[in-house]
Amino acid sequence: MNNMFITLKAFSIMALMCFAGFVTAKTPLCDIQKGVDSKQAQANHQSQINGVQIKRAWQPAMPHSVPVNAGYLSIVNNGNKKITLSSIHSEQFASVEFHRTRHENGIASMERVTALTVEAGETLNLEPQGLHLMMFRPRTALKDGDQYSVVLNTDQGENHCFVMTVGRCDQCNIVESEHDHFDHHHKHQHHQHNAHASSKE
Amino acid sequence: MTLVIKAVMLSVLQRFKSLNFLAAVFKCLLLTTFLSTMASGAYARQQAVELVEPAKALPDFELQNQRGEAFSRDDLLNQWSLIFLGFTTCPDVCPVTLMKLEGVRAELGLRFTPDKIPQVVFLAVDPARDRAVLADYLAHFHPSHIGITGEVGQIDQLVKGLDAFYRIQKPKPGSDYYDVQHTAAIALINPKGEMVAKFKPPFHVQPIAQTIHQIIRSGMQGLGQ
Repeated sequence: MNNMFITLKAFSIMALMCFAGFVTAKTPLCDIQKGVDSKQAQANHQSQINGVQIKRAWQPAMPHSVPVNAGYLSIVNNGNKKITLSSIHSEQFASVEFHRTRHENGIASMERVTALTVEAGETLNLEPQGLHLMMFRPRTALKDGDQYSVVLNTDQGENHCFVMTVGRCDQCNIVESEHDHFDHHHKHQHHQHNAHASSKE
Repeated sequence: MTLVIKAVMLSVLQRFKSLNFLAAVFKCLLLTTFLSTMASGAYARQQAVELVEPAKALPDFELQNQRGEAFSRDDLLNQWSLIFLGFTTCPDVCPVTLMKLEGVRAELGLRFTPDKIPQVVFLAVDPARDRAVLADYLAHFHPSHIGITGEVGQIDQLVKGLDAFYRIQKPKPGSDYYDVQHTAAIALINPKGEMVAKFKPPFHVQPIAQTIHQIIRSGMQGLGQ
């Protein structure tokens, strides 16, 4: 009889722990995206698909009262085929688009870009004051250090899930230091030009 | 940079014609040395700074800061200021510029006492969206940053004084978001309320701090403004 009670107690404690675990467990990043098989997303996050790698994905921390956030990342195409990126989404935002800031005669303006292409062997940098992600209506307040997943879909049918980190300007400094040398600057410009982007009015 | 040096050479020639010949020669020599020091820096090749000569006095304006208190030209006097024009719903240019301006202030903190460190003033040109969130927005970047906005006519007055421009766009069909085209330059205002320099993007913290350092120092030595 006593033994049975102990077993029951142990069971109920285990059940409670399981329940608590179920409630508090954080959904793993790059695992719950709409339309993406979770195993595939997990695999994509850890490895590269066809040599495509997402690096340095970050967004500046913004007050929650601001309905639009910008996101930055580098898309490295080490594969042997050109890739076209035409859709992107994240559970964290109502919608995500590609945008470009243009500077003409000292005036900054923004335009929507419908698709990005990255040639084989090239890197496309989405960075402050250039191409960037435009992310509308954050679902929850984001603070420095928070992470969330984003899925980038290629026209070739691949889904690249990557983790976005909310930060300050530490990542702008990486880009800034790359601009120190003229050669790098030009190289970078060259990369930018490889981003074939079509505007939508 | 060569253009700036050409401009300096021209001003040298003009000053030769003036009566204060010796004083002018001395001043120009110092100014040329200052500019060539700037030009020799590794960053200088890419740095876009435009010195405003002669310094341009800003017009009077009546705006409000993020706490709703009056903010006028008088609030720019007796201290250096960096004015940046933007809007709070600007996701790309404005946040990064505000963070970099804080970086510039931190750099200058290593070189000057706090009374000479420029105050950062964010001129929000889209009051319909900016007014309600300005305090929250500025606090997010730095507690000492000042955000100002107000009546369109008064905003336009200051924008004109800064040789700047903005245009509020119409939202795209099916969207309630609209963009604001705006001058992306940062204006440096001296303690007399005059614009003395404009920095153009892309902004790099070190060279901007270096240039401001030299301008403030030259001002302290009776040169410049």
